Amino acid sequence: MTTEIVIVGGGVGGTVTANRLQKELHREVSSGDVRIRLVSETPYHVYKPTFFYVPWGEAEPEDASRPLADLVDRRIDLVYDRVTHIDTSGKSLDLAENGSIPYDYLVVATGAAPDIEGTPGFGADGNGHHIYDAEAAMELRRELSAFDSGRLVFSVVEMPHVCPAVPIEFTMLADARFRQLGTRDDIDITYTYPISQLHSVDAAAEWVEPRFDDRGIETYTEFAFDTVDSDAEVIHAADGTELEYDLLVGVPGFEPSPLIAESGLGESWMEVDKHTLESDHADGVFGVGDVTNIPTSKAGSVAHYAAGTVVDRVAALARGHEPRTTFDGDAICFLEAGTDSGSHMSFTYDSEPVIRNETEFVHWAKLAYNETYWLTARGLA
Amino acid sequence: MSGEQLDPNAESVQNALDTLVELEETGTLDDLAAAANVVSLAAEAVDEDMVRSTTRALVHAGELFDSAAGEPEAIRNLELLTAALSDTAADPADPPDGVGPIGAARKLNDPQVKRGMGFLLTLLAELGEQLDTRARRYDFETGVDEDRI
Repeated sequence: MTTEIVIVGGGVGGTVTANRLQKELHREVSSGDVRIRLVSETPYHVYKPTFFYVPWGEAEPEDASRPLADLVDRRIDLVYDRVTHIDTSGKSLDLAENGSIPYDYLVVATGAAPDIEGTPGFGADGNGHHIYDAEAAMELRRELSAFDSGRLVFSVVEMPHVCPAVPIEFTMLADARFRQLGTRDDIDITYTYPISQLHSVDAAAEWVEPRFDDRGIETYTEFAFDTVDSDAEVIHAADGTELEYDLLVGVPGFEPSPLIAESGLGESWMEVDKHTLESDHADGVFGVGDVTNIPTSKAGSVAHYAAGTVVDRVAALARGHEPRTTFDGDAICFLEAGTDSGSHMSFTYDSEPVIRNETEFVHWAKLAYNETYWLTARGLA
Repeated sequence: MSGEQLDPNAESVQNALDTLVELEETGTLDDLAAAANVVSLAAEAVDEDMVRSTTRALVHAGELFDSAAGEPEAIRNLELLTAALSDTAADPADPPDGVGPIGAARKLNDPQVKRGMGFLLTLLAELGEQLDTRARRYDFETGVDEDRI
């Protein structure tokens, strides 16, 4: 009898989990005792952090994407289809085009999707820009190439959002780029954040405050978007503040796949034990990455480290052992401080990060990591 | 800590001094200073394109090694081919004699050639199967290996 392991989602969490499970269970897969399947709505794996560089002309959208078949071990079955329902009592998945498939262990890694239409100023009627898909990143590139005076507002509109470093990095990169171009004196940069400090991670908020001051970046905290008048180019905040802009760039709200609520895995985000990553509502079901409600940042590194825990636990269960590995909330993020220096922060559920002064070496490390990511996706690093 | 007056009696200061003294006494400090010069050189010589392009090349090599590492049987077969290649015309100045059609037919009766032919024909069959499997994985239209659902 074959143990069926199914992974839903071909992003960071799903791909790393699948490849590392294959490495861990290669004997069982070869003998036919275990089968691993990865179900992805799209046949492409997209490394979304690449989109950060697209508006600045430092990367092309095509650099972000590779066929899953290039990255996923050949012994893992790939199914390109959309999961329409998870039957956690019958342990099966319904697919849009291909019937249903059974599972003994299920890993849900469906990520977080930007809610562009639901974010004031960013939908079809708005003129806010973002970097969360290829088309939007290219559109922002066109805007930035013609932007040489006025006010750039960078706003985190809603939380939680993916990739915690983006607001800080984008704002500081914009400052550095405008200085290089000689347009900084004609461009005001304003940063807004929806809570009472400049970043949700305390250490990041402390680190960035003097740096924004030094660069003359105006900041607003507890800035809650109410409405945006796109014609007049004015943001109306909930407290009555009005903020004019010439170019609005921001982080929209994010939401999980509706599959989670429809399948009873959580009211919104997938509800899991923060240490075992097992569903609060179903046996043999695990969550990895942005889709979960674990109390830490929605970052690729969290998905990567969490995948390691899930792989150990699923492999132990597939072998009939008691799983022991637990997740401590490990996260590590780079913090670029412009065009030629960077720092980083690492933290867990129980430890706050210490953020050092930025250096050129860490900037290089980030550039290098963006390339080595493809090894990470293969489950190597 | 920066901007504050250092307390020379603070435990952290004493620990840092102890470490520094140990590094000095063992000669490690001189080595570190020398290494720092190399780091400094790297910082001045390296640019972003060098970091990107070098890393990209290493990643391609890493992907190749990763594939190989996951295929120990393939490595054994590669070693087999390597050994056979080594023993085939080992002396570049003395290549094997030419073989005509009749000689080739006679060679096919050689038990070792028969074994090698078996290997090659099996390889061709596996190659065909792998080509089919790969085509299914890259078939983004139907998007599913129906045999496996």
